[in-house]
Amino acid sequence: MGTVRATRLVKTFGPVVAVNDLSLEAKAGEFLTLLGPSGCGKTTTLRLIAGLEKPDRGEIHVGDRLVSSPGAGLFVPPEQRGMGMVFQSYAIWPHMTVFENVAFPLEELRRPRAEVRERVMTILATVGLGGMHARPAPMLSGGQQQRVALARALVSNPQVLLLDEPLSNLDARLREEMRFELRDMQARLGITSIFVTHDQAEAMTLSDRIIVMSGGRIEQEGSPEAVYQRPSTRFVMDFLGRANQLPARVEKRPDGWIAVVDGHGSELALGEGDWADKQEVLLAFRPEGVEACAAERDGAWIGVVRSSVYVGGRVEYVVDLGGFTVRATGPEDPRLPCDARAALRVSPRAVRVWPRDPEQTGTNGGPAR
Amino acid sequence: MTSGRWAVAVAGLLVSVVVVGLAPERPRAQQSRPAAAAAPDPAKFQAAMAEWKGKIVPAAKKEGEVIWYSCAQATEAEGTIRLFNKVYPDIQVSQVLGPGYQMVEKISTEAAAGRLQADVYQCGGQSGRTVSWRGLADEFTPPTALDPSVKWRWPVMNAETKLAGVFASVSGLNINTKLVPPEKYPKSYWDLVRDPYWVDLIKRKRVAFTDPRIANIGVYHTYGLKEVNAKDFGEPWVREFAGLKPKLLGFNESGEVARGELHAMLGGPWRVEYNLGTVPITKICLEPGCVSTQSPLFAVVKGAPHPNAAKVFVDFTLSKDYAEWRVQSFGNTPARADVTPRPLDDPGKHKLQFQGDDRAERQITEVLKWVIASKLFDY
Amino acid sequence: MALGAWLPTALLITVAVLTVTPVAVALLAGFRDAPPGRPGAISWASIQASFGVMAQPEVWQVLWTTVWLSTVRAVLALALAVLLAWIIARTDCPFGNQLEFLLILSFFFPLLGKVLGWALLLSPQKGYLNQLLRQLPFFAGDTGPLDVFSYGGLIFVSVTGWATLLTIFLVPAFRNMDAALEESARMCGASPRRTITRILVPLLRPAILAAFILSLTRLLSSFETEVFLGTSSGIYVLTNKIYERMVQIFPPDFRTGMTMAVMLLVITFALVLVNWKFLGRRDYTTVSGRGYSARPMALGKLRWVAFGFVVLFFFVSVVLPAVMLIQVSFIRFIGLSVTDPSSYTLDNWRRMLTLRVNRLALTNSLVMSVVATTLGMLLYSIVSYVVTRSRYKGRRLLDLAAWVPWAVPSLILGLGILWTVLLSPLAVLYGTLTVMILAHIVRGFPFGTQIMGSSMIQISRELEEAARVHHGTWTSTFRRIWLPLVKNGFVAGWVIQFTVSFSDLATVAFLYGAKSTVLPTLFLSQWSNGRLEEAAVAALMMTAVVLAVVVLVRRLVQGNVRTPTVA
Repeated sequence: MGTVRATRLVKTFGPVVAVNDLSLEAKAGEFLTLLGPSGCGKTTTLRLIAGLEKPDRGEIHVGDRLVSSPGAGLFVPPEQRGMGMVFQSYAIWPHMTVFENVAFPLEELRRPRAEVRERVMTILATVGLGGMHARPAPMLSGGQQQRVALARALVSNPQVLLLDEPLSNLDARLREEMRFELRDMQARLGITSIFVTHDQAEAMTLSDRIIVMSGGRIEQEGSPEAVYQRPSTRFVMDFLGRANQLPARVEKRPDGWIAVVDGHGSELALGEGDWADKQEVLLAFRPEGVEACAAERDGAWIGVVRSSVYVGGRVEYVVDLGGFTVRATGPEDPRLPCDARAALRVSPRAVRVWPRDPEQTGTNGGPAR
Repeated sequence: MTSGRWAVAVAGLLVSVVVVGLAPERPRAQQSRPAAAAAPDPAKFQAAMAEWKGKIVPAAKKEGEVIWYSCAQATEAEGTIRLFNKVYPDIQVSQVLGPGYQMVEKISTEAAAGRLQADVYQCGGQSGRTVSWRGLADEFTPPTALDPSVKWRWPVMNAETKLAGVFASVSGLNINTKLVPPEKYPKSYWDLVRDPYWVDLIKRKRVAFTDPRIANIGVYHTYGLKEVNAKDFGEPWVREFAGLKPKLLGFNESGEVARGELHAMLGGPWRVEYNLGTVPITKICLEPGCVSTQSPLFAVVKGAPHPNAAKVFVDFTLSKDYAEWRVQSFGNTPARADVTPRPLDDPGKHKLQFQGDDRAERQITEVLKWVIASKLFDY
Repeated sequence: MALGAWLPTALLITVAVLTVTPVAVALLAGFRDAPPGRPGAISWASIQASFGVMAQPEVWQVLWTTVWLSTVRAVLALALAVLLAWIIARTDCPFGNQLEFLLILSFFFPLLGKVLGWALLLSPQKGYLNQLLRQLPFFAGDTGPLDVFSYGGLIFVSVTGWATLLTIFLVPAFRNMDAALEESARMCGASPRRTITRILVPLLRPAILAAFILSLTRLLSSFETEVFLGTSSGIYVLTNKIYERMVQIFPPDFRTGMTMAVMLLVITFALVLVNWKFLGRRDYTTVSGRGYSARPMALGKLRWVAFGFVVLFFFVSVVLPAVMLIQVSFIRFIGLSVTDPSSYTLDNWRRMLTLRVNRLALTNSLVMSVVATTLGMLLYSIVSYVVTRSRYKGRRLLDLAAWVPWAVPSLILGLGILWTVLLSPLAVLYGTLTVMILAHIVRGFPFGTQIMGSSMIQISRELEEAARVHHGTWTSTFRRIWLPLVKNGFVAGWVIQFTVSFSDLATVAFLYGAKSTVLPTLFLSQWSNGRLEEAAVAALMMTAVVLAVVVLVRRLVQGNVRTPTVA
């Protein structure tokens, strides 16, 4: 009940392969996010699950029920899949009132009139639209439309809730607010949700699990922390937030492998690993993984502050490290002035090392130890 | 009145006397021949009536409808249908009204496409004959035409064309009595092109002529002056008249004179409304005389979709009631001798009369061709 | 909603057959050696003969008249329309909304009524307005001073009619323009007149150019005004000359007529190509009257002058001719004294409502217009759906096929359909209402697909999908979401198509038969028969029915039926 399982889905539009051999599973009650840049196939995947597109290959199960299997010639139309969906544009029907919009799914399920009324009123109260039921749809603000769309998606107690970038059309403050409400509601109802977004902050805050997609394939899946902290590919690392990247060369030392930053000489211990001597690599780490503090003289991991921004509680620095730009963070006090020397303390756990050979980019990467 | 105009009038009168004495011999002579051919034959009438009552009328009622292509005016058509339905209430009449030649073309197109709609055709002599010449008219003799008890002024069935020439109409100059004082009325056709008063009016488009290129009556006037009175009028008159560029009316419409939109119009029918008495219009004859033509003519269209109803309709037009109504309303002269025409409209009094004369009609067709080719009226 | 490929392909073929065949037949028939329905063929000699027609100087004379007359009328109508639209949309002219409503009202006043009304007002001798003018000391003589049966009269009547339509077309464009630009020009010290010529006109150039080409195309193919006001005074343009050559003379000169038809087609097609080249094909941007908070230009005391001007325009283009028609419809015979009570009668109206032929025309008109409009709008909707919503490969082609009649004058479209019917097994339909319905459906394609396309493009795909996901079947999605959303566009399109079908003579002038007379052809027959009193009744009937239908439809759907752009 409530699980969604997709196996080896393929969907092409003409020459474009939108979804390429993709398998995923959303567990019952889970909040699963499909994250990726536009064109990565995340929305198409969602539409395949909803039944708004027919896959070329692969199977989709909802619970134990097979709903889509081109091989078996099976395709359950969207209205029979028992899902709720919130669209990017909300898709509130402009010729109906709030009540009529929300009542539609129940009416289509041929529920008795009294039940329809009661359930619509209840769900409207739940989404915070109590008393607005008679209002014509075009007379709603963006946030209210969003709530109507949510109410409509939830009113028939679907097993699965699909959300297609529902927050992208809201202004920043409202987006934040809705984010928490959405999470709260989902947790209360325990409904399996699949959420599509390109905004990593939304994905981080809402999800139980994140699937990062690119080019119609899954790049990585895991908990928000795991995906953020331990990206398995350069793409994931780049996409999930700003990352510093320093070119380096691996050298064999008696106590293990180290990486030497090109042209600068700063070193980083890699510990044991499957490296080759003189192998060119890229050191990648997030600004949070680098602490900047005052330094008296030049040397390894010492650069010059170019600019700084106060981000509340901490300061973000842009540091010039031997010609490379490194973003780092530091305490708000003392704040380093511009052109001051800054010592960068890189936590080896935070650094990901990838071979620089472009053909191997994104694979074979591993954490520094 | 100037002596010059008197001279013209007298000359015209003299000429017309001569013309009456010489030229119209042809029509007169011709009239007698078909009259003899259609001598009443009681036995034939009996047979025709038997078939008529036993077969044709019931079949017509079953058809229930007749489609009448006509150049009649709306009121004329309306009255005809009313009277027809008094006798045959079960047969509905649909009318298609338009200028005669337009109707002929329409029927020709329909016939060629194998999709005839017309049952009955009715208009003046020339376009009616065209229907016959194109082989679009059915050979049908209404039983009334065979009735030995009915006397006819002329043979009602034309021997050559098989058309029913049921009425004659007289066409002259229609004048608005409010706009034109009686002393200005022209005496002769020459006055129209010589009298400065009329020349001025014509040039100012205040006088219209029934367009001879497209309407029967215009050609008849042209023929009467150009051919029948070739010596006194002839082509010079036609050229002078056309040179003044009178307004041309496509459909034979005299209403604009009655309304006061025009001072006068050569040709154009007499309408029911004019009998109201308050309408300021009168019709006069100019030397050498009014034009009396066989009009309207009726024909059953060959291959008509409602052949029996068409026959019933054409036979009806030979009835006494219909003749009396037409005399009253339009001043037509009926072929039936038992209905008396109004004095002015008696064709016997008009010198330019062409009814039933197939040879004259052929010449008139030549005149039509000449009119079109001469481009005299293409302005 | 995925459609199988064969369904849209069948649609494409249907539409192409409907729209392209009559044009192709009309083009080819111009080179045939015999009229339609008669045996004949296209030969080298017959083609030469057709080109021989073009050697006649008379043909070029007519062509020249057509071009300059249409251009003059298009320019004047456009100038008038720009002024009217500017007053209504951009100034503080009092009662602006009511004035706009008056203009929309005048759109529903049939052209035939306008033509007859003005013919009665301005006929040189008995025209009521002329009689009044002659009371003035400076007009001597027993006729004139004005004559509607002249170039001036023709231009005047056409321009008042076209200006109405163009104003309705331009008002939304004027309204949507950013007022800030206008205001900043005023701030920079530009006078109102300079603001108009330097800022407004260049900004609105695309809309104005589109309006100009639109009216030029339509005026080149305009038929009614020309046949009623031009022919009798010897003013010939291509349309009434074609009609004269093919219908009004004996024997018909179909070769000249058809050659001229081909010339006209070439000109209108060329104009449409120019339109595409400079203004793009068609775009579905909806010109809605949505409330732009543009600050109107303050006219000061002049605003009452502006108000008076619009009212005067309405008075001249609708009230005067309508009042004239009403008066004449009750008069026994136009020549009779106006003051004498015995001149008045109800007979004309009684005839209209009781005589079989007249009642037939009325019912035929209703049946023809309702059926043609309803079937047509359904067909246009399906076509628009495929064009705007499907992934069908041939949809551009389908759009193009639906657009073809745009370049075809209605008269020639009617002619093409007549010949197509006569030359095909469809000949059994000759003279029936079915053929006329077909003609109106074909004529309506460009406008119908334009208006339906515009309203469909506004419906985002997600609105449909939301219904599908939330348990809506295909049918209930169509019924509950799709239909209500396109309803307004459909109704507005329906009303306009109905209005045109009901009162358009050109399309059916060659097609009507004994039992398929409609009000416009009845009007034609009454006019040429000299029964102007009854023609007035027919024109008023057209007006009354159109207005009644508009009101009824508005009430039925309770939607906001605005007249959208006729583009």
